[in-house]
Amino acid sequence: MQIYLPIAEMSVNIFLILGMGVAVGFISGMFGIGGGFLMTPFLIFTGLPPAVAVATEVNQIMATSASGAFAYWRRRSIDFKMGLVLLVGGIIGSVAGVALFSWLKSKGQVDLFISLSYVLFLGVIGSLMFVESLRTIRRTRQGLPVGRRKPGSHTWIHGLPFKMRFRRSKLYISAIPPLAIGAVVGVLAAIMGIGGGFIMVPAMIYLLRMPTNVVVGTSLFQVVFVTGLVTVLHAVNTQTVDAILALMLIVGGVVGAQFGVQVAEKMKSEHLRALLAIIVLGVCFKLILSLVLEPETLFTLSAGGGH
Amino acid sequence: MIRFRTLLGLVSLAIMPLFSLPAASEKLSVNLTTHQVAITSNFTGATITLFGAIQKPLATIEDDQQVVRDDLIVIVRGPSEDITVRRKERVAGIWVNRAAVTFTNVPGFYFVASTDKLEDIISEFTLNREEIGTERLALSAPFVHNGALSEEEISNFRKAVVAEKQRDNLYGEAEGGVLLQDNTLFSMRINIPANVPVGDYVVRVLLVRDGVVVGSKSLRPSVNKSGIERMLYRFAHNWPLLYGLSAVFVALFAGWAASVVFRRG
Repeated sequence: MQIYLPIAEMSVNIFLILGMGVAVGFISGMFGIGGGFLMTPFLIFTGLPPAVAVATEVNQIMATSASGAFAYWRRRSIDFKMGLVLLVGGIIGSVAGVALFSWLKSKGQVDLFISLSYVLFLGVIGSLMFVESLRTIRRTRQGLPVGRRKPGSHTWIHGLPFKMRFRRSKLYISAIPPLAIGAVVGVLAAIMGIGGGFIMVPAMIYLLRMPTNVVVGTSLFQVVFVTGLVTVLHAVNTQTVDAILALMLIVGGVVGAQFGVQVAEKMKSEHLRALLAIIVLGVCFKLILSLVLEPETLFTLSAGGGH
Repeated sequence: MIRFRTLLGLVSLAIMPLFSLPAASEKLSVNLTTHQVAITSNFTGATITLFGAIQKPLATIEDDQQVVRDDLIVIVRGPSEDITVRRKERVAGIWVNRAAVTFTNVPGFYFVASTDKLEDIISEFTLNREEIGTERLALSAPFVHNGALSEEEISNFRKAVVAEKQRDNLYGEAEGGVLLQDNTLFSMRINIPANVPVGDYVVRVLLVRDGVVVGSKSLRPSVNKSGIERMLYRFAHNWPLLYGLSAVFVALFAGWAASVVFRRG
């Protein structure tokens, strides 16, 4: 069954889109991630204009993160003060990111830039995760303890100025690192259509040394607002948010995530991570091929003058 | 008074249709099965049938059939837009958009059908002047974005526009696509793909006899998004801020609903 997307101005198979929503939702429920880094390339592989894929996917991530954020809010595991500092960084980053996105679109380079960012991002994250999970699997097989750095030790971060007290996280640190982390995540959201929890959660644990019980909730809190802002900015600047597509992705994603959570409870986390790393590297490889192989046609058309 | 008449003459010369028809021009009756193509949520393309008749004095019908054969050319043109064509080049192993050319007034849809081979119906001069046939589209005023391109290279870009539109089924030609029966009744099918641009279309029907256009008629159907598709598109383009905020609100609500429905414990 085909459905016409009013903003993308093309007709797509409704079951294909819902199916992708369920599949990525399943993965995101299983690994506790937003899934934007998989969904955006999938949408581009389907033939959607990359600009529409990014802007619409950001809208879907907002819904996914909001459902998580509401749940963590009920359990009171959000550090709102830290969330706000991350958010200020996120606002700066996303405004800059959307401006960069619009400029690249006018130069005809946005598609290439999205693909290159993905290759870099997925390649690095996928390789790191793969190596790390293999090492953990080998260590547990040999019965060795799994090494973890102890929190609380002093690093260069504690030497920075503008210190703030974060009661919920029991931290007294400079506002600069959370601002910077928030800004990086904001730029990624605008350009790649991802939430950025993928990067933010490890950064909060290893760089800021936040207690793990507030990390995920606080990260989701920031992602909800940043993706909300990016949705509005894309809607105003490039009119690329497709409401019908977003709705199908949200419905598919919510259903898939519930199954994912149930499956994840029955699997070992290092096996999960190795599996995710393989998926990530697979998508990365497919993107590299599309950049390197000679395209079917060298010419591409786009509406508008761009004078 | 004389001056006024001269002025009137000049004006009528200027607005005279490109095909100035002889006094004894043939009359055409033409219509379409639909004048409004509505793009709804399940739109996957549409087919419109054009049908019509060449009106002739009764006495001439018998003679005509033996002496002259009429030919018809139908030109369907969609709304025009500016199109930027970019050409990829290999840079450091990856394919990157480099040279870019903008063409103005490129028809978003273009389809020509005729009763016979175009070249056999009418002179090449007229075909070129009237832009009949995909390879004769003027695609004027190219604007070269970066650096200079030779006339030959620009013509490659021009060919690329036509080739890409043909791939998307937006441009086409059908020699023999117009069926003429008993030298009076005719019909043809216009296939409209799902990715068709919205706006006003012009369908021109030309009646050609001995290489001369002896009658013409124009119809103006339109393609429009309708229902929720139209509403959303207009909303997104006319009130982008409100549209963005609504998208945010829907996402927040969906997230909240999911967190309530799947609340555990």
